[in-house]
Amino acid sequence: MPLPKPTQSILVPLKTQKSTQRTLDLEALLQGDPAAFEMLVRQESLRLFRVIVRIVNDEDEAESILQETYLQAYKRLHTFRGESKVTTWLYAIGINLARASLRKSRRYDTLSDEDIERLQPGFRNGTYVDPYEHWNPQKLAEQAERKRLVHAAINKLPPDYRMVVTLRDIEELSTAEVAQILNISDGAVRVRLHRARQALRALLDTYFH
Amino acid sequence: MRDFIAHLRRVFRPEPTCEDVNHFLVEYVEGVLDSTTQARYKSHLERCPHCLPYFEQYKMTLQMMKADGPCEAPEQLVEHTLEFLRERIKST
Repeated sequence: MPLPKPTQSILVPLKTQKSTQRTLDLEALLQGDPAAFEMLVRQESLRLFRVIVRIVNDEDEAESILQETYLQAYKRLHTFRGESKVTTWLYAIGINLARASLRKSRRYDTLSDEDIERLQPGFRNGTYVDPYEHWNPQKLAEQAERKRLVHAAINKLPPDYRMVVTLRDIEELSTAEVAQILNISDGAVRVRLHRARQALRALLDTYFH
Repeated sequence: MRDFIAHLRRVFRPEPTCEDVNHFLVEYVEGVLDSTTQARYKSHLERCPHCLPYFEQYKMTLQMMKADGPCEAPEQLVEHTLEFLRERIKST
């Protein structure tokens, strides 16, 4: 299938267009209508950028991946089968590109799978091995420090765990959407999410105890 | 297999253990467990001296993640992206 032919709207900046407020015309989009594609860009860029930047942890790289994501999506519109939302399909492209970028740059300064395992709670006869106490309210009240610690803790998670936490807990996509984007089952999303949350809890416990 | 055994324990054990409840915390928070199991887990989480602080920390972790919120995007992100696409598509 030939590349959809761009028309005026994607070639000329539309400063007056308030397309973020309108509903995306899926049919027009799939027929290669540049105005519909531009609307997709306007609607999804901020959120998609936030997801990508959390994965690659580099704003310039995230912006470049975002651009490449849309370019690939534009070229591959004819491969969209309608089995998911178009945004889910778009996010899957973006996340695959972000993964590839991570592999290429080897920017892996994160916990290993063994570390994640060690951060899970232990059980004996069905009960927690370690005792837990409520976190210190005074330490929790220091909001700026709290935000910094949480951000740093999320960045320590291995990429696969960070992706699931970003999509499900921060961007609040549904479990089914996250499963489609990452191409894993709903159950696998929940298992990974649980392990990630428990690892984060353990990391934060050091500070808020 | 692990999920299947946990499922059997969930259905047949009269009183869930801390480990049973922990295993399904994601489902519990999402509210996707059947209503009987949800109620049993809620009762356990509210009464168990081991689970109470653990679940409190788990929920607090979730809240703090949400509060960490979106990172700032560059001001001209959308316009830069559209500009990039215009150039690349024109040259194709």
